[in-house]
Parts: sequence; structure tokens; C-alpha cells
Amino acid sequence: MSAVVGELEGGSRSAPEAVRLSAVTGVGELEELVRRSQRGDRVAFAELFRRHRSDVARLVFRMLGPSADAEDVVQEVFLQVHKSLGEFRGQAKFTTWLHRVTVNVVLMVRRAARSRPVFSGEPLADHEPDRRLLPDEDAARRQRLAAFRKLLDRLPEKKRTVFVLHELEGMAPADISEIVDAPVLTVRTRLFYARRELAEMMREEPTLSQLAEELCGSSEPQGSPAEGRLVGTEAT
Amino acid sequence: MSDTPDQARALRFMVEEMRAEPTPDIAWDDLEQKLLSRIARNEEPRYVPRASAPSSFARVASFAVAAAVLALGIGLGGMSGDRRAAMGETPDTARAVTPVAIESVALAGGEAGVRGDHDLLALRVGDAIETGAEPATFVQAGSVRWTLAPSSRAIIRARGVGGVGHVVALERGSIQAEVTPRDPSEGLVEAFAVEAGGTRVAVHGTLFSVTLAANEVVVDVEHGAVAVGPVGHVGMTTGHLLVGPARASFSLDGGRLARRLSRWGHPTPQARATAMPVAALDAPASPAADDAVRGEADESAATPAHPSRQVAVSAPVAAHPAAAPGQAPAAEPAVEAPVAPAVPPAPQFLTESVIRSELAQCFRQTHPAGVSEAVKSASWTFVLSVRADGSIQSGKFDPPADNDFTNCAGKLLGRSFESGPARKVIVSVSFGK
Repeated sequence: MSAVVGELEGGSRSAPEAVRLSAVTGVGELEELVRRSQRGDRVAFAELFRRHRSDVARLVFRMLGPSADAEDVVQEVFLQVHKSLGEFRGQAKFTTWLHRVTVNVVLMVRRAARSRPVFSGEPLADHEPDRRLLPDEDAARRQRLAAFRKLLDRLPEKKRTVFVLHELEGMAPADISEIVDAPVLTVRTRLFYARRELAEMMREEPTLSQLAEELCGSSEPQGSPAEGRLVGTEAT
Repeated sequence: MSDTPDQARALRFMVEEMRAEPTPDIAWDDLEQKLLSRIARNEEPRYVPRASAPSSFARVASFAVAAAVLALGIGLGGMSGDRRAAMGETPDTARAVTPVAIESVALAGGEAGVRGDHDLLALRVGDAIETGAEPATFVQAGSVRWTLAPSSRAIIRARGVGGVGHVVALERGSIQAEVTPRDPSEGLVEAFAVEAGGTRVAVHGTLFSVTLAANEVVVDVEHGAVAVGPVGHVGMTTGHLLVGPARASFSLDGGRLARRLSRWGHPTPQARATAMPVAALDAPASPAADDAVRGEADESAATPAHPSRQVAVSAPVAAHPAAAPGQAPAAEPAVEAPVAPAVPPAPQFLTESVIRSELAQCFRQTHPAGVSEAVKSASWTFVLSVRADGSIQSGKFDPPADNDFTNCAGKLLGRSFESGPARKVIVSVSFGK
């Protein structure tokens, strides 16, 4: 097991940063925490929770979007972790196992949300225009993100999961293959098609269709992140 | 990354924007407290309430029950013990397991499930559950909800992760389960399975019940599909596919013998006359396949342990009067269950009068008559979207109704009805008092 333990509070760091920051704590310390938690040591489990809660929250948020009740889902993830910790034998990295539990809980929540009847007395939130006054650039960015999330939601669940884990969480296909229980080649294939389908959908989405042209004229468009990192092209 | 460099750049740009988006603030201290208190609740010591001294009749009755359980145990152990041992499972440890006090796994207020339900995740592998005169319902929110009928006994064989992989061994009586339908893109994921003797009933998302009888298991599928085959093929049960609404009985040796029954307990005329057609297990279930038991495709000549590809049809049983519509169905004549199973009621038809009646009830509840002499009245157009499986997709009031009334309507109407084509039901309602 490699040294993947450390966690910084505040979920805004990017995935590459997460990888760099992960070697803060020794492997042995994490294993010891896991062992103690498996024996029922609540203090150790609370420490595990504190160390990994931001990672879990970030993944939950990225998979479910801002409308979901992230706190409940994070709580459900750690409840599930506590219940299943006895079955963790250390064959995989703890963080990989934790991500696997998180992904499963999130998928369960999404399934439940899909099958739950929606009784509404008012127009759905999706159709509510955002009447808050925002600076133009921020408003444009929010619109783009909302539109992109909708496209992401239209991807089939398996492709969507792989895309989020790789592109947003920065995980390697080998780790993802353990999380989603599929061969690495399958992960790469899903990733390839997820990107292609997203790009096609972006072309037809009014809010995003102009983006390619706008970016064409400027290598550093307004409102973009400070540094344009290359995102996971090695996977295909 | 994608078709053209421009598109690739646009996609990369959006990915970067999403990565740069901060996670919403979470009240970590509160969350930690809630989490640890839930964990503490789940870890409370389990106990079996000490029973009062039994009367002489009760002693005789309990001896008879014990003998029946023992006989059942010997029968089941002979059939499935070798297979379970090969899988590394403890052979029939259930009989040595102390039953869990059902009260100790009750859901706390505010958790998913209805009042009186129990938290499925609070159970552990090997836990035995025995019901007395009352049924017990276990729930994992968003995944599965199952009810152990009165005077039944079950053992938790496996506890799933992320809502997948729950396995319950039915030792006596009957289980009714409702499994949340899964996304078709996930393929055939076994969310929940019931093992009865050497037979495994695996579910992908459906409403069904399993009843263990003397030497067979009766499976009644309200909607959806279940796979029935030998135990031991965890996650990929192979054998027969029962597409609801349908009812069939299977032998306890992995379902080698199967016969189709009418929903009220008789073998159907077709079942008496012919052997069932062979069909691939993973063939898409079509509505036309209703009331059919399909065998697995014959692709495994090297696996003689698998059940026969053809469904053997047993001799017809004695005629049995059908239950009147709306009446509880009569007990299965060919099956002598030690305890009368709780057969689930047939789904209700969704009619305008049902909707009006439920909405009227909600109006009475949420707008009680007070001392005021003011006249309250309201009119809405209510649009209800119904899926093909009979479950409700959405309901909407025009003009919008108040929250209490809307929530009440959601509770009363947000259930499954008789399956049929996906449809919208539009009803105009007016209430006043």
C-alpha cells in the first residue's frame, strides 16, 4: 500500500494536488487506524473519518452535483464504511476501497432518486431562473457549469462514473478499475466514449456550443482557471 | 480527447472549471456527532427478551415447532451443506445462532422507512431473525425493503455494500421483498437474493415473495423479474427466469423441478399440458413473456450440476377454488407450508376514483374543520405520470397545492399500482368544507 493518507481541509484542491499531498502520513499509521477501527475503536474510526471526509465529500459533490444533500450522503458513506470495515482485508489500498464504497453509495442514491416519485406543487428548481444579481463573468461561469452538469447527467452511469473519477478526481485507470470492478481496458474504453459523447453533446448545447470558437481565439479565455492543465489524455 | 482540437479544448476547459469549483461547506462537527451516534445506536448490545414460563400447551407447541424446524434443518442441510462448505460458508450455523431482538434494529425517527421498519444495515452476517405473530420489515433506503411473514425465520447470509448483494436464507415461512429497480445500463446486478434450501432466488429490481414449503419454494413475482437457480453462484444466479406477474414453485435442489402456478395457487392449464420453452436467462423480458418460467440457455454441457434446461411439469394438483377479486388468495394446495404464508395483495388498479378518494383523505387531513365558519374550498387539476411497471413517476397539481397537501398526496399515491402502459392520468378535483 502506498502512502495515501493525508488530507487537507477545504475541498477546493484539484486532483493532482491531492496526489501530491497524499503522502503526508505514514502507511503504517493508516493501517493501524484501520486495524483499530476494525476492532471497534471509535476514536480511531473518528480519526479515519476526519482524515478522509473531505475527499469523500468532494467525490460525492462531483458525482451528485450541488443540488444533492451532500451531508446525508457523506454520513451514509461513513456509516457504510463502518459496517463494512470488517470485510476490508487490505488487499487494495484503503483509499481505493473507500472510493469504491463512496461510488456505490452515490450510485444507490442516484438510483433511489430516479425511482422516487416527484410530487411537486411548484415548478421544478431546474426551471427556476436564477434571479440573483451576479457579475456577468460569474453568471456566465455558473451557466456553463450548470449546462455541463446536465450533459454529464445524460451520460450512462458507467461512463459518467469513470469520467468523474478520472477527469475530475484525477485517478489513474488502474485505480478506477478496482473501484468500478472492471478491467483497465474497459475503463479506458468507457472514458474514451464518455469524452466523445460529452464533446458531441457540448456542440449541441447552446450555452457551450460557442465555447470552442471562443477558446480558439484566445489560449487563456476570461474566467478560465489560472493554469490550463492537460487532463488525462493518456487514458486513451 | 475528442473529435477536434477545438472540441477537446472546450471539454478540457469545462473539466477545469468543474475541478476548480469548491465543495460546499459542511458542518463537519455536527456530521461527526450524528455519524457516531448512529454507529453507537447500531452497536447497542443485542439481546433476546427472556420469555415468560410457557404453559403446558405452549411447551407442547414449542416442542412440535422445534421438531419441525429440526426436520427441516436436516432436510436442508443434506441438500445444501456440501455446496456451502465448498464456498467456505459456515454450514448452517443459523440453527446455532441466537435470534436477534428485532427491537434492537428498529429505525430511529427521521431515518428512511416507515414507522415500525427495521434498519437492514444494522443486521450482521449470521444474524437470525424469527418473527412471532407479527411480521418484521427491514429496509435499506433506496435499495431493498423486505418483510418476514409471521412465524418465519431467516438468516442473514451476506450483507451488501452500496445496496447490492444482500442475501437472506429463508429457513421457515415467507419473505416478501421489494427491490428498487436498477438502471438497465448496469446489467443484471443481483441486488437481493433469498436462499431456500439449495435454491436461490435472485432479484434485480422487483416486488416478489418467497415462501418455503415442505419440499419446494414458491415464488410469486408481482412485477419485474427474478432468477431462480442453485445456490453458490453468487451474483450470477443461473436457472429459470420468472417474469412478473407470475407464480411458480421450484424444488429445493436448485430448482431442478419447476412448475408454473396460477397467481392463486393452481398450476396453469399451459403448465399442465406442456413443458416450458427454453430461453436465455439474459434475454430481455418482454411483456408477452408474462406468466412464463424460462430455463437458461443450454450452453454449459460441462456443468452437469446445473438444473435441467427444460422445466419439468409436475402432475396437476387438485382443483382449488379461485379467490374472489380483492379477496386474499387461498393457501397453495400443493404446498404444505408449516406456516400459512402471507401472500401479498394484488396491486390496485389506478382509477380516477382511487385518486379522488386518496386526495379527499389528504384534504381532510391537511385542512381539518375548525371552529371557524369560514368555508374552505379548493380545485386542482392533478396530473399523475405512471410508469409501465405501475409505479408512480411524478404527480403535479395545477395550480400548485400547499406543501402539506402535496406531501400527503405523495405518501398516499406514491406506491405501485397494476402494471400497464406508461401513462398520464389527469383528474380535476374540488374539495370544500
